[in-house]
Amino acid sequence: MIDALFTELLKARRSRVPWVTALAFAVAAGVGGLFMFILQDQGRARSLGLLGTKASLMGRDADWPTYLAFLAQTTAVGGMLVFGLVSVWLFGREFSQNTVKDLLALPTARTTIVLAKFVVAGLWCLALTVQLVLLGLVIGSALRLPGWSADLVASGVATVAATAAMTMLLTTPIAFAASAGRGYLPGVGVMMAAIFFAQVIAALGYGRYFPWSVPALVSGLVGPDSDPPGLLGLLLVLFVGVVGVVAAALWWRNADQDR
Amino acid sequence: MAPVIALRSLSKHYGDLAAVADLSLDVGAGEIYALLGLNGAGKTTTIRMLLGMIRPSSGSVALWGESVRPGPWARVGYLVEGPAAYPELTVVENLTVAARLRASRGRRHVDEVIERLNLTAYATRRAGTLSLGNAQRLGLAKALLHKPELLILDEPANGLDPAGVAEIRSLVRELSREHGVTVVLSSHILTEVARLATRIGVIHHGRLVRELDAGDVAAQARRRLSVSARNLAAAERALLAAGFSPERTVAGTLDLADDRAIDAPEDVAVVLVSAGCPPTRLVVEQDDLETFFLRVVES
Repeated sequence: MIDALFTELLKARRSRVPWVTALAFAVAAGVGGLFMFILQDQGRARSLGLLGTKASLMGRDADWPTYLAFLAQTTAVGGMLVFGLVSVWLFGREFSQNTVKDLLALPTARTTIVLAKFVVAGLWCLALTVQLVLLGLVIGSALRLPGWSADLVASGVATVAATAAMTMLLTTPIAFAASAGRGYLPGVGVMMAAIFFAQVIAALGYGRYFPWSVPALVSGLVGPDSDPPGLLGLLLVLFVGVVGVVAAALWWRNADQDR
Repeated sequence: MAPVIALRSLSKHYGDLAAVADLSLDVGAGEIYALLGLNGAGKTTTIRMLLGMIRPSSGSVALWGESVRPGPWARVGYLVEGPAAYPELTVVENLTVAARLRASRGRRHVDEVIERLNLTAYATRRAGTLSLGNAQRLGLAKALLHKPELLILDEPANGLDPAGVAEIRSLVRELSREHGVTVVLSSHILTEVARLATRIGVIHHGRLVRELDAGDVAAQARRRLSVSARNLAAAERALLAAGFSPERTVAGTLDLADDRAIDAPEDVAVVLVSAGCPPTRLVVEQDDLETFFLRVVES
């Protein structure tokens, strides 16, 4: 397992993709900070030519609860896209670049390689979440947002972490799609479908029965009036995560690799 | 002792299409076995089944008597359907990745194989910038990295220049002769197969239509005496008058398949000189492997 992890980490380290995903999350934290800056003083924002009118649509105050909620919501929606791309890249690249054939007849079992990929995906997504939180704390402090308390920040960070963990679990079927579809595009297709249906089903009020809507419910993206996902929703997320890992591992182990 | 490779009634069907049909063969230790066939004959499918990448529809594959799932892969090196490498990793890093996955951690093996495959100048270059020939060398380096006892190479000479082809030929021969490595290769470069293999299996439409030792190719290939002369018509008349059976070729020569012409070309020369049309060229030629292969397949 250590050897497989070493190789996956080396491949990720040498790629530009981790930097792209880090930039995406940095931009997300920055955009949240920009909204807070605008909300702090809309007159000042207008005079600087910023989008004061649009920012005010948030209808919220510029404080720590609002900013931390924004970070959690960013993790729910942006995370599905960015974490999904991490999975698509880790698995789909082996097929798109035809390197998979060098991973199939080795003393290192195929399932070990698949598990190493999932571990690296998890570590990668964890690093992105830590980056988002740290950057958020720095930006929030720089803006001197009101409403700071250790409990509130701990609760806000916990919501971000829970949302990120659930989003990570929900990307495992994307890894399976990139493997079974032998390339990037099938993975991207499944990811876009999951994001689309998550929005629609959550808007219809059935989000807690659709796993990909659950992180948005947890992060409060659907609104304060929506029902919390409940135990069923959380179990569905866990179930999807496990099924994705098992399906990918079984597919790598058993499917004919004839391309 | 079990053969290194044992294929028994191996078949692979894709719907109605039989990619490989009822193929049985054994390869013994130290042999260089060549799979020879046209494109789509079933060579790569056979190699993928050998490597456990494709499950046979029926039949069995065994390496040293052992099933290929999970398979004794620490003892096997392979290159299938052209080289592939991680483009953003250097040559050394690609080999390090391959070494770690083959439970071979020593950097020494990586350095050795880089030197052996003449990749030293490219060691720190990213694999994505390599020429096709050097990418092929990198693919071969990965296959040889852990000093395998069995080497399975699908079209190993692809993309290499003539010097590179000769280099790989001598490398494979050395591995087989000096280290007892068993080699299975497929190639469309027929002259390479003839020069390198100790045994050849001819595959056509997924079936093993003929299996022969390297020596048999020479023995079974047809021979003929090729004659050139300034006055070809007069030479032909003279040879017919002397009881030979010359045949005109599209190349503007006369071919004689008679045993007495092949065994004693000097007699043919005497006939032609006596008739006043001395030969400008007189040579015994043999079917090349391509002609031989097509004859085998057509029959």
